[in-house]
Amino acid sequence: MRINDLIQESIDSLKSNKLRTGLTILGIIIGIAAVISMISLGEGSKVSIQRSIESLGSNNLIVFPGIVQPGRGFVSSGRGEAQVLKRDDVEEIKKIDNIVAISPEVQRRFQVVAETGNNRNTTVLGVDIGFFTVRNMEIENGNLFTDEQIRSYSKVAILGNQIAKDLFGDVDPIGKKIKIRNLTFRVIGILKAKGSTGFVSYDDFVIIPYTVMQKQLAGTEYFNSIAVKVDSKENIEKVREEITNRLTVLHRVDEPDFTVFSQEDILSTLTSIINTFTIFLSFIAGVSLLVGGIGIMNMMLTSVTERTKEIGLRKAVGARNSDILNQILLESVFITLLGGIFGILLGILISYGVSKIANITTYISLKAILISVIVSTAIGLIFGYYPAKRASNLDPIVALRYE
Amino acid sequence: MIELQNISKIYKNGEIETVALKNINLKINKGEFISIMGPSGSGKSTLMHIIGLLDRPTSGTYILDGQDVSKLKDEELAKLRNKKIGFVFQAFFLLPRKNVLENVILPSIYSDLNPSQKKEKAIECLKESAFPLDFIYHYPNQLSGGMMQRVAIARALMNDPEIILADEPTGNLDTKTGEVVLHTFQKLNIEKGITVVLITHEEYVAEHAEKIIRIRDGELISEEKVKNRKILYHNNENK
Repeated sequence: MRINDLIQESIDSLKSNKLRTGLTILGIIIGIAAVISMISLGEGSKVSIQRSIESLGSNNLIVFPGIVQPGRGFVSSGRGEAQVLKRDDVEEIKKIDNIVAISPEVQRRFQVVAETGNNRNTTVLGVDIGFFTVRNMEIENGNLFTDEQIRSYSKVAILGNQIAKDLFGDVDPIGKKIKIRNLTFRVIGILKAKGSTGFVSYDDFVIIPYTVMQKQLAGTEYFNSIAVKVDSKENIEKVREEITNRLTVLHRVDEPDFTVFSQEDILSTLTSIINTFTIFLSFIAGVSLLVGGIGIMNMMLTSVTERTKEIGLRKAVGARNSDILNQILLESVFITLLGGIFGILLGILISYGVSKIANITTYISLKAILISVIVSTAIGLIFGYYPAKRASNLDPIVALRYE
Repeated sequence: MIELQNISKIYKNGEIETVALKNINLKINKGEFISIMGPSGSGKSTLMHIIGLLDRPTSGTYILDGQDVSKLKDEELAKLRNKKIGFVFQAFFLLPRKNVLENVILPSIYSDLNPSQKKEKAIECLKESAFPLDFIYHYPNQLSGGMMQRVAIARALMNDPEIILADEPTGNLDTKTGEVVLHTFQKLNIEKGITVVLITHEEYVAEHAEKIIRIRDGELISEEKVKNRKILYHNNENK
């Protein structure tokens, strides 16, 4: 049997009951669209996390006090519990080559009161001048800290974009005063807006010199973390090792009492969480695809039963079992392919709609589309096989007598 | 040439065995026109199915053109059916979704006929079966019974068969249209030398053949020449 004839015969019989064919295709469309939109949601979250983490500065290493136990993830690290990172550590890290900037950070939550009378409970971050380089922070208005201001315990503050609006409204905050506990700070700069990075938003932070933070607000000589910017990706592992070795010696311990994270570690942790989530959602979407597949099988079984006589006649005039098998299989593959194509279009539309309406990043990957096409064709073959086999095995005599 | 040797067909339904054919011995020469007669349930349909390669005998040998076909696989039987046998059924069995031309072409999609020749060949077959060519794009439900049967005959001719097997071809037709069909069979038999096997329970219809074979309860009871053969087609008709 020629392939042209085979295709023609299959299309003809699908056309003979357009409503039924259409409804079956709809089942596949819904399944494929669900899978596509779930995958694109997952991929989109990954891309947006990656972007926001990279926007915080690339090639960064962050030293946290305490040890992260395997399997518990970095989120549950002993930040704040173990206190080991001091000024000496910063000086020690400075000796390492290939480092662009160092940012020791002390972080507490305080009630911040502006001279306008507005007040907010927010995160106050004590930093060194390296902070702005390491964290990729730029000033929208005003000035950065100077080395001098940091060493001389100057009570100056730089506000995150959002907190500046919260505290001062329309008033220009530069030069104005804010009170943290009982200390008065002068606002000298406003940061550019960065948006949420998935787990921290510097837009809500009040940034002050770490010296003031340590001595006068927090009453500690320790840092919460030390962030280090490495000059290139290739040197990250080398620098990480160096930091680990040097600080272990400095702290006079056998095992490090701190942990050095790279951005990749953080990224891969978050990515694996999102992956799990995506797989879970896709699995649920896959169930609807399965239901669509059962719809195909149902339709093909009905259609084969209806066409019993026709199949008998085709066999009488010389159709081989394989000709009948191929025709029925092709019919169900057509249904799934059509469903696949429209499902992909609908999936893209849904993803686009979700990202427009709910403001969630979605990303349609070629991978998702390829998977859908392969899966839908496979569904056509798998769910079409049983009806096709049944049709091809029909005894022509019985089939011709069928009423 | 068709040669059946000791053909038996037994249907098994659980414990119960039904004998449909018992030790049938039959020879049909190439170019013969024979009728198989018998009351319903006599086994004549089973015999036609076996001759038409739609079924295999339980025992015995069937030699078609010198080849033993009684043990062939489904695929090989399908190929032989396609090449050598044209079926004409009482209920026509035209595909309702296809027009006349497409119905006639159907057997050729399972053969090696060159696609460009299909339409031409189909029209030739429709002429052969005396189908009015103005109607070739009509659908079966727009045709009369006689016209449908002529389409079915054209379809049977599509792959140049050696044998036409007609199962009660006039059963659904009135006498006059029935005679047109029988006329066509006689013409094909004489002009093209196609072997015609006609299955019927009507004496009148059977008498259009050269020979009548009677079966009853699965057994062949007689084989005789028709004394006053009804001749509808005369050799000089076209001249």
